[in-house]
Amino acid sequence: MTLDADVHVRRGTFSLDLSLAAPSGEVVALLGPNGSGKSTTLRSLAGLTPLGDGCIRLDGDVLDDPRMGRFVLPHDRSVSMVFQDYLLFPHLSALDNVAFGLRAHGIAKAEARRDALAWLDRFGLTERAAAKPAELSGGQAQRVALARALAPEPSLLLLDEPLAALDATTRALVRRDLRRHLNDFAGITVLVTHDPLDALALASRVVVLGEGAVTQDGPIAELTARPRSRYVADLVGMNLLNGRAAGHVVTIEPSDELLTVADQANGDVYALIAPRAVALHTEEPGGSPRNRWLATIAGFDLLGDRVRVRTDGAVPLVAEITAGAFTTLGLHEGQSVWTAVKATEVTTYLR
Amino acid sequence: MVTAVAALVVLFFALPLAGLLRRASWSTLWVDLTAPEALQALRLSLVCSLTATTLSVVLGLPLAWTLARTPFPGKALVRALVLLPLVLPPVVGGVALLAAFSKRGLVGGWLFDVTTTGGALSWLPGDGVQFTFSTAGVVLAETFVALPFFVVTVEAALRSADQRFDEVAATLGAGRWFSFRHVTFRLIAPSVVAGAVLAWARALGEFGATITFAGNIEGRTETLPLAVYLLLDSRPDTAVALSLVLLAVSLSVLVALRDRWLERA
Repeated sequence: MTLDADVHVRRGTFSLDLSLAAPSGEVVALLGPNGSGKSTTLRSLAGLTPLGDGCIRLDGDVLDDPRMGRFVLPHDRSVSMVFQDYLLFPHLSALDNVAFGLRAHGIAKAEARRDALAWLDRFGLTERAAAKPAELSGGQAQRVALARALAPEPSLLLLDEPLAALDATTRALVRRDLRRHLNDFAGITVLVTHDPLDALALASRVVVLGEGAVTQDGPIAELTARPRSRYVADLVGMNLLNGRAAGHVVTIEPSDELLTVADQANGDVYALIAPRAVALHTEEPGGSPRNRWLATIAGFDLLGDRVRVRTDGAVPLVAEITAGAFTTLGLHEGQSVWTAVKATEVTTYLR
Repeated sequence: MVTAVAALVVLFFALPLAGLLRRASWSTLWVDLTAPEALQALRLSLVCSLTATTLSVVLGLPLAWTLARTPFPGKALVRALVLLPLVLPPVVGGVALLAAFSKRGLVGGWLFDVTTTGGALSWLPGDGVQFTFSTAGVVLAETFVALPFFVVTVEAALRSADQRFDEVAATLGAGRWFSFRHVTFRLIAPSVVAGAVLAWARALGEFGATITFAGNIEGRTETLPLAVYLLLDSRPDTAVALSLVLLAVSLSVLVALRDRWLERA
């Protein structure tokens, strides 16, 4: 079982161009800010938004290919979708919601209900079988929606922001459950999220979308180790600079400031610096760090017993220092400081 | 001052009702209602209004669906046309129906010819379809005035029903027809019932278009409202008794639909 999608959709000034391939059993997270085309991608895969160009193939069957003139209607695809607000049928009980897909596939009522009950049991919802959606809690509704989507045994499961509608406490619980169910699911899962924690917890692979195009595609570990966009770097809390490397020196764009690095490189590179590797000084530092820049403090965020200090300047960096150091230095917003980074603390990789 | 005016207006509505109840000859009510003319009018009214309601539902559903869900040019115009009978004086509706469906009307003559022996549709039961002075004419007139009530109610429900439920149904493998039967129709079912009840009440009370178009023939076109009007001189007790029947029906409709209107405030 494989998914092979080449999605091109144009709507007004927005255009989406994305390639996505996944083997069975894989959980792919589409991560990206609002308006990056995540939901449109899901809708194309489900057949709710036809492709403008490209091709979607599932298990070798062409589901959508405008050039071939082929378009398989949503109900003829082996694709289930869980919507962000679940959209449980309000007039049906939890049981009949789960049985719906089976009934739609022509399975007799009694058998569909028996199957649906087994699904509810697997989700620990046997006691809520007769409840109407309005009587379910957010977490229960989410599980019923997932059971309903899984019951027809689709090849491809689409989840649109599966945890976004839940409060923080429920979220953690449901996330853990969801992970278990996705592990049990034999087909391919594509889930859309703007929360990196969801991606981290649920997916084996992350595709990062930015303004309708893929900016990064790979395993989670690579995403955090080598982010390839400001969006991802911000999500994982790292400083990411663009530059041109020549030997041990990187010229940072767009300021043309120089950054000395330990590893040699040549060409267009990303330079990655962990916030805790950025030192702050109230006076120009001497000694070993050759990378030092004058900056202005733009703001703070408290992170446990540490403080993240955002700075503005020729090389804007985020520094993470201890709360103690923060007090000793007597830092305040708008203050001028020196930022310093050791050459050995900079990771470079080609763009 | 405002309260006083309001009280007067309420009185204005209450007085005719009180008058009708006082005027009723309660001791002879049962005899009046079971008189042959009364029974005949009751039966005819029931048959015609229920047939008109059925037609309104069967024909109104596809129309409401088209108006609510299918984009097409000139939709506003079509909607206005469908809703016109809501505001058109019924007697004008009757005259218009005559102009279209009487034997000398726009299509009435043709309809008569094709259904008469030798015509293309002569295999249909009955010989020579004509609406004027016939029960079919009563049904036609009642459908003409009742159908818009059904369409307005159901179209509004279809518009406000979340169409994403259809999308969910589709991703679960439901074709359009399955999805309509099990999702959309179930979501709008209360409005379909309300629309049908409204249409029935309107059909039952139809007077102007019926008497103008179908005429007044006892046992064939003389429905309850027509009977009330015609018996008012000769047998006022029966007329009032029949009025009470119509009043009771109206009150029942109001009670049946109270969740929709009365308790909304």
